[in-house]
Amino acid sequence: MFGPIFRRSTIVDLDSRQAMTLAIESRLQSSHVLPLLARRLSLLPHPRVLDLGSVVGGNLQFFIDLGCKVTADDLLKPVETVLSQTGALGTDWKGSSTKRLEYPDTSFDAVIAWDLFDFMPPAEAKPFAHDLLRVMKPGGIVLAYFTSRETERREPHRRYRIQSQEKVEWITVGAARTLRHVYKNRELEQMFDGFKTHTAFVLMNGTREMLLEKRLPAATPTITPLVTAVRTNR
Amino acid sequence: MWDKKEGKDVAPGSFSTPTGYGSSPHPAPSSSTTSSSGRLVNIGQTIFIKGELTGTEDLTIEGRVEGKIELKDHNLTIGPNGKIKADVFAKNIVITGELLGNAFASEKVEITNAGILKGDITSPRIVIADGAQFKGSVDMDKGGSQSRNAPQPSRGDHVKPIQQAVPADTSAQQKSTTTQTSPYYPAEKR
Repeated sequence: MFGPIFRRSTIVDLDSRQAMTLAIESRLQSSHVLPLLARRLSLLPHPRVLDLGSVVGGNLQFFIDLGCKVTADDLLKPVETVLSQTGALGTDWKGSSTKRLEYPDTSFDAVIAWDLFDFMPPAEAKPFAHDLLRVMKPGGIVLAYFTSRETERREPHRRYRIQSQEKVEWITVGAARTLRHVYKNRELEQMFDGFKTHTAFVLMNGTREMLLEKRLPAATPTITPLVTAVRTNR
Repeated sequence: MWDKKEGKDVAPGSFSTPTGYGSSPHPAPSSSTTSSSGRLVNIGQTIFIKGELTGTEDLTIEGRVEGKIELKDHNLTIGPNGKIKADVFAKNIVITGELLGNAFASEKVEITNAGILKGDITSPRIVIADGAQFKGSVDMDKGGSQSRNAPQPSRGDHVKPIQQAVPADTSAQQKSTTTQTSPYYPAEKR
């Protein structure tokens, strides 16, 4: 269901020189799932999109031009703020994601998560994914990136800018680094219980691009009323 | 209290414009730094205003304001030290400081890289710089939604936080139930 299987990972820390290199890194990468998501959204009447960040103005414009109502809630920003204030390298994400999303049930047709889940501790990622399930409409889509690297390591957060439907540019934010987790396919399957994989691509740079679709509720069996049954017997 | 300065002295600091989709910001109108009378009014850092603030001049706020700000057809700049807890109505709104409240602009809302906005935006044009903090919904009175055949949603149709949420409108409920069987076209790849 989730494509190729990825091996158990180990943690590797970068030295300061590598960190400096990462701090200014910026790359353009293809996107195979964004056109699919854009097409879906463009077919819906007044779709609602939740952007979990990092929030970029141009990305909001992209979805607004598709006719979406966009809500931005940058969950990485508080972590980045703490990191920039403390100057901590290698500080891990703690507690920020355990808060409940402050939105009513079945509010959104799409959630843009980018690589948010990679930076969450696994213990927090699963309840957060369940909360996402709550705020999404049936058939709603989550766009998420997961690294398929074999080793976990601390990395600076990335900001993704949509250049076009097929191109996304990412740029690293600051020099502070957070542990980026590597999830195995089975872990993703468990984390996103209630979703099914709509589309998954593995890019050349090892990023797994995924569209996860909230399952439609199971159809309830219809019970024939007794009166109808009597009439049928006549 | 009202510290009058030359427009060029208190103009909002320039910021790196974002690149990427739709990010070529429109040039700021020249009136964003000077009012029609050629000057710009500044509320200083030590000033705290609580209540309703209305006017017909461009205004820069470096202090604190709580309540409501209404500058019809004029520009509001929230300076780096400005902290606003209010709904804001203006022609152009530039946020370099902090705004906790909704921003309604008839032309443009701009959040610079140091700006913080926690509230909803209603404006035909929005510029959010990289590094800006924004939490809220965006409503642009133009664009794709107008090109659609479906009717325009009312303002109450916006997604609101739970504490402010009103019960979902019936049209939205009907929409979700009718589309549950086939809300989208078949997926391209499974």
